[in-house]
Amino acid sequence: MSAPTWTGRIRARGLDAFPPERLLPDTQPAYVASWIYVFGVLTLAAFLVVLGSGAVIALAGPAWWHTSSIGHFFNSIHLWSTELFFFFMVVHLWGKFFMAAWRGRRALTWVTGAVSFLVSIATAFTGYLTQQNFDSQWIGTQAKDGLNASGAGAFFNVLNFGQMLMWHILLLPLVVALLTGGHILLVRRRGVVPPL
Amino acid sequence: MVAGLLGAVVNLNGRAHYVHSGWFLISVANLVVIGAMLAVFALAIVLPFPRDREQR
Repeated sequence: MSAPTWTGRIRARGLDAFPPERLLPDTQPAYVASWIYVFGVLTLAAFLVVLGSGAVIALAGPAWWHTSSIGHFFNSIHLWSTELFFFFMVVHLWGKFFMAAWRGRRALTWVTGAVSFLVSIATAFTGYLTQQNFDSQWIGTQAKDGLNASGAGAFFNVLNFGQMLMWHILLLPLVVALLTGGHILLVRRRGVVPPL
Repeated sequence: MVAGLLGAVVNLNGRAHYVHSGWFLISVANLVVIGAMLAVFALAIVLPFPRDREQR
């Protein structure tokens, strides 16, 4: 019998899809004992450092790193954790591609990973636009022509600093975080893909 | 100090260096990163993963 309330129904469905031992497992199949399987969690760890360093930068604003060595330090943490984030994600992507990781009803896991990769690129590009230096001006003036040619410039103006900052620190990271959360839940639901 | 040592080895403040051959054009920095990713990918496949003694 289904629960009489929507909260009860959501709880029942959640427990059915993600029983605690599946949501937080303490063992994995033997084939997971390979270095190629660690790059997903390395990507996640780098993403958390990106978010943390970005939150510290947000306290003093995006121009902080121009006037303070501490601001410069956190800006560098933000940059290099992003570099590692993409480095690990690309190795993770290659590993999963050559494993054909969409097998066994894992198509949505693959799709959420691929889309979060693309949204991460957009997030990083808007980060270039919020450096508040000549580099960001150059990138913005180059990017506007391509975006205007596609029509996207009508609602996504790369020369609008405020708009790019909000996309960089709120909208796009939120999408990446939601996609990543869904991606991890799908891995828990379907399990780690076995080797070919 | 570490940053100073690394900066002494690789100067990142100058003009970027490029590899250019016909239609192919890539910065040395990007080429190094791609090479490092390929190397890490290959090592991740061939290097043995440490296991607990009981599981061997």
